[in-house]
This record gives sequence, structure tokens and C-alpha cells, in this order.
Amino acid sequence: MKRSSILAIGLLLSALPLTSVAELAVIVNPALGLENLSQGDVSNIFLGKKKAFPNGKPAVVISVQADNPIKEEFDKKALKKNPNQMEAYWAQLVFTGRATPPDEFPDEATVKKLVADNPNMIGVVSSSNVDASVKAVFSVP
Amino acid sequence: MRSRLKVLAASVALAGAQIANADDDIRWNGYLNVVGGILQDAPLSDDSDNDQHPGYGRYEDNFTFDPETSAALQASKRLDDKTQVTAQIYAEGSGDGAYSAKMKWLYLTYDPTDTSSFRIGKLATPLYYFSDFVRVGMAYNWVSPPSEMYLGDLATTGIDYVYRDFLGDEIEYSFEAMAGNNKSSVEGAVVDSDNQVTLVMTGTMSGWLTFRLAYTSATSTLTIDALDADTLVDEQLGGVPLSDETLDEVKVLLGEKLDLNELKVSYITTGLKMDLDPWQLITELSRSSTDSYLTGGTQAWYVCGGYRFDWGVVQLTYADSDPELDNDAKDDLDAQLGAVSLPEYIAAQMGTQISGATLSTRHSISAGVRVNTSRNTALKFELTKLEEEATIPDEERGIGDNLLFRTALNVTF
Repeated sequence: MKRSSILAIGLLLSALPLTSVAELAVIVNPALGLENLSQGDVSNIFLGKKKAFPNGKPAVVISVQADNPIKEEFDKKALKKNPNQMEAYWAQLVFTGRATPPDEFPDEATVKKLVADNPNMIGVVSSSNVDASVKAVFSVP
Repeated sequence: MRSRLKVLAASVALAGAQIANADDDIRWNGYLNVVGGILQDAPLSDDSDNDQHPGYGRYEDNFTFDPETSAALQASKRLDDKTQVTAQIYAEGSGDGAYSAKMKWLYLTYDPTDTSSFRIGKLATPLYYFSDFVRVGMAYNWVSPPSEMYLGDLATTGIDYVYRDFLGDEIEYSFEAMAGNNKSSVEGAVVDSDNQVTLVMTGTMSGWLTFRLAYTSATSTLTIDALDADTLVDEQLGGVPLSDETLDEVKVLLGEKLDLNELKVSYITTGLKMDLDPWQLITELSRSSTDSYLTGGTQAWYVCGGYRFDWGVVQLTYADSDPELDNDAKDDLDAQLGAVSLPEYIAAQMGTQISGATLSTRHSISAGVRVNTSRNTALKFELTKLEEEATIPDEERGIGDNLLFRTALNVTF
């Protein structure tokens, strides 16, 4: 291959947007038959305001633990709340018996495996961890 | 590779077991509010020539943590996929340095559908926007919501139904109906209500604009320490040379006129909340009506504006409480006190002081800051200028101003 071609390819590749390490994906089980979720659906489901997917099937939200950077980033970018706001939000619901926050698990791998094994579950992992066992329905850049 | 898969399988199995057992386990939650405060001037409400100063709860002119420090522990157990039982034990300062704990809330939650929910048991009465969680300091930015409106937390023993749904993705709405009986203690009074019904309508648009409208009606019996006939006579006529017969007549008269048994009471409240990050605004307006002798009701409102930083929130609040004195009733009271052989000036003074004890025109302005010290802790500082104005001409007791400083550490777990 000519040097000029190699250089051109290199320049082209460098012009392409790199996938951010922090890019997140909302994942569901492929058997759910869901192609994507809107920002509104994601927000309403993860804040416990909606308990079902748009297709009517029940939605069970799971999460990595609160001290995982993925959770803080997702809450800020997708739910527009910082950690303290999230705590205040759930406090209003928990202490009135209206809702409970998602169950938390140690890491992304556990979240992904649970979503892959349970048709009703929905969670958040890094985009780089998405594989054929789950379906990404919303991305958080 | 195989050992890694085994570890992963084990962790998933454990997680699955956790999920399976989640319905069997009791979920524990709790909150702690450590609140301290001090008034600039000791509260004074008497007939002396000294400067009068309104009080605020049980705060004095020395720093104390007793009045508002509280904690709660809540246990929830899911009985099946639709039913959950919740119990909350709550402890707060009882005024003598001790902390008394009591079962504050106890109810069963039943969710027949994704959009409907019933709660049965002892519940918070949703008079105002923050009523459901008025003691959960972490849930709002003040040290406590404006006292001109939030006199305490009222409990209803009964049934509550909420229907919640969406119009598209952007408009969320809910209707709530609660019915039952209520016996609660607020500052200086006990409220015992029967046939209480509360209706609430809430709408939220695109997550940033919330509107709330609520209506409550009840048949209430109020026991107000400051309006006990025997206490009033002893306190205001103790040094006046009157016959026992006259004093008894006054007690009987006051007992009849200040009868607060089975009053028809109603509240209408509206609220608006705007969250345009980083700016936020919340305001509520309440109008209560009662068929009591001296007052036709009270109008209370507040407006709070805040700015959110990465580290917390700074906010400014103005609050006002304005009762309506029934002037005809006041004149009637003065006349009737005069008719039982009280000297005219004493009758007028007593009528004024009774009316003043019944009604309190107050407003306050507060500046506060909330610092988010961690995900589940917040540190707050708040300075409040209190002012009590005369509701009726010549009222002097407690009319003046005061300054309150409070700090709070809120924790949830």
C-alpha cells in the first residue's frame, strides 16, 4: 500500500468520532422485542413513574451500586439529577410508600447477565460491554 | 477462563437469590435530622412595656438541638407483587431533653394496576405539597418548610387512593383521594377531625413544571391551650378584684363563645413548582375556612426561589400567614364580657387578647444554603427574620420581630 494511502486512511480514521469511554447504554432482554426507548420512557421508567415498557410488559429496573461512576453519570445525563437530588427524590417516595429505588448489584457484568436472563429487566452498562446477549435501546453519550 | 465463568455464574446465582429473596426480606430505610437553632431575642408575649418578640417553636435565645432533631426507622415488607406493608417509628425531642419514639406511620399498600395504588392505615394527610414527607429533611432544601403554612404533620387513619398516568411522555398527572379520621398535635393545639376527606390533583409537564390543587374538608374539634376558659380567666383576671360569681360567669361565657367542638373546616391549597435548572421556584397558597366564633379562616402563602450549584442550593423564601378576624364577633365578645360586670377597659383588653391568642398575623423572610456533603447527607444553614403583626387594633402581646438561626444535618439510609 502506498504511503500516501496509509496516510489518507490514518487521517480519515482520526477524523471519525471516537467512542467515548463514558458512553452508556440502556439494555433490555432481546426477547422483549423492543427496538428503542425514548428519553421520556427512559426517564419515567428509571424514576419509577412508569412500571411497564411501551409494549405493556412489566419493567423491573436494576442498577449498579450507588458508588459506581456509571450510576452517577447516567443519573446526571439521562435523568438530569445529581446524586443528592436522586437521594432526595427517592426519599420522597420511599418514606411515603409510593415506590422503592432499583435493586443494586456489584458491577456491570452482573447487571448485564441479569438483563440477559430476565425478559422484564432493564439496566445500564457501558456501551463497550453490550453484546448479543442484550439489546441496547437507548444511548447516553 | 473457566474459573472466571464459575465466579460469574456464582455471582449471578447469588444475585438471583437476592432477587428471589428480595420479596421475602424486610427493607429497612431511615432518616436522621440533627437540627440546632437559636433566637436573637427570647420570645416575649405579655402586657409589660418590654419589647415583645415572637417565638418559633421551642427555640430560645440559647442554642439548642432539642426542638427539631428527629429520626425515623422504616420497615417495609413486600407480601406479594401487589401488596406491601410499611411501618415507621419516629423519634423527636419531647421538650425535656428526652426523645420520645412512637409508631408514626403504619399502612398497607396495594397496587392493583401499574397506575393505581391504595394505602390503608395511618397516613400523612396530603394538605400541602410537602405534607407527605414534611419530616424527611433530605427531601427539600429548607431546614423545615415555612411554618406559616406547615404547622406540623397531620395524620389520617383511613384509606387513600392514587391514580397516576401519562399523556404521552411529557405530561404526568395524578388524582388522589383520602378519607378517614385525624387526631394530631400541632404547636399548642390538638386537632381531632372526623369525616375528613382530601382530594388532590397534580400535573407535571416535561418534568419541570408541576401544578397542584388540593381540597380538604372535615368536622374538627380543636383543643387550644391558649384558649382554655379557666386558664384565660386565671391569667388575665388573676390580679383584678372580682367576685367569684363574676369570674365564674366569665368562665361560662368564654367556654360557650370559644367552643371549638365539631367545627366545619375546609382547606383549599394550590401549588406551583418550576425547575429550570439551575433556577428553581416553588410557591403555595392556602385558604382555610372555619365556622368558629372569632375567625372566618386563614390565608397562608409562601414563595421560594433558589439557584442550584454543583455543590448545593442557595435559596430565598418569603412566607405569610394572615388570619381573618370576624369583627362582629369581636365586638360581640367585648360587649358580652362587659355585660358580666367586667370593667369596660378590662373587657376590651381581654377581648383583644383572646382574639390575639386565636389569630396570629405572621410573616418571615429566610435565606438558606444547602450543601450536598455526600450522596445521602446534606448540611443546611438558614437565617429567618420573623415578624408578628397586630391582627386587631391595640394588640400588643407578642407583636414585634425576631431573628432565628438554624443549622441542620440531614441523613438518609
